Amino acid sequence: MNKKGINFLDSWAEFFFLVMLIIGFVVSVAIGSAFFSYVVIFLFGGMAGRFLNYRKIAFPFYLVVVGLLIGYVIGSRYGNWRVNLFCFVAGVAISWYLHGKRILK
Amino acid sequence: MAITSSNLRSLYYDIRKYYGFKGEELRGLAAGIIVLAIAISFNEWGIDQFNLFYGLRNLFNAILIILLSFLIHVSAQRVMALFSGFKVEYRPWMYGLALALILAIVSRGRLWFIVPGGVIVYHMAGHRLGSFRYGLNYWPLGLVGLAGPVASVFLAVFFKLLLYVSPTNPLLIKAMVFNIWYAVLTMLPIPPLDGSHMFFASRLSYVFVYGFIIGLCLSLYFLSITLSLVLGVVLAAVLWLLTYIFFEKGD
Repeated sequence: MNKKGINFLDSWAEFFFLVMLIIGFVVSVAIGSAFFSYVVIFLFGGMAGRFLNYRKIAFPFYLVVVGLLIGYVIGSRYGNWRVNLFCFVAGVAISWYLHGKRILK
Repeated sequence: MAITSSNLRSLYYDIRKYYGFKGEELRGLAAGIIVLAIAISFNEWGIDQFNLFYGLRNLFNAILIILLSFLIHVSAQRVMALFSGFKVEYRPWMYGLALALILAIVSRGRLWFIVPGGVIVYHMAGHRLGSFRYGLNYWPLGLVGLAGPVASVFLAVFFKLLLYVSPTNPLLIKAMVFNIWYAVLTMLPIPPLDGSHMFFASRLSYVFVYGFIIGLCLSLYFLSITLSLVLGVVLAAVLWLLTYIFFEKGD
């Protein structure tokens, strides 16, 4: 393994934090209404809930998810950031619960 | 496995006995159909202003198109698996479905991300007796995965043929475009999707088949079926050769 590979193994969480931050920002900027902004952040929350449920307690994965949330909230042109945050947390909680109960697999 | 009359009789028996869908599979298929129908009819809820009946009619049309496409796609994989002595189970890909909705919203319905799920293949011990490689292995898995996108390509070509009869029918155009993107996107080598099975089976075969599907499908928009077939074969051969020279030759 060369030096680049070793560096990436040490800092992949920061790298993906940045990638998800940019993706969240771009997606959020592209949305043209508050309602759809809430729908999309809820869907992202659902995806994050599934992702975190499979990985349980591991800090780097939470960092990646928080990167997405921060990018999304920064780029959001319509709607309130508190409602965005609430929709995201609701999405995570519902998805986590459904995956925990094996209703969604 | 060779196609003989006794194999076909055995296949007929297997289809009658094992073709059915489990409840969990049906729920996954239904979720995929509804989510993708919303995604592909996202910008069809009125021309100048919101129109509920117009939107519901388009949503219903989208559901019909996707239902038919899913049925053909998954059935081809089931029949191929039973022919090889395996059994498949459809699994929806939740990330793919969520991304389909998100991309539809972000692009205002212009971008279709059709990756509803993939199949899991099970070994049927009694049906594999006497086969050269008895257990589950990459090559038959690849063929089972490939059967779905190939069926979608055939369906797209069938809709193109119908378009010669009725060139401006929006339902036929939509059905053709849906099947084109369904075949192209499910061939991506991402593990739950169909393309990943062929990718792990043989990279060169994957590149050849994917090149053919991309060449055929994308030229079906503009050219005749014969020209599209020729373009598909040419693109497949070029990609196969490039992959062989740059990636596989040294192995």
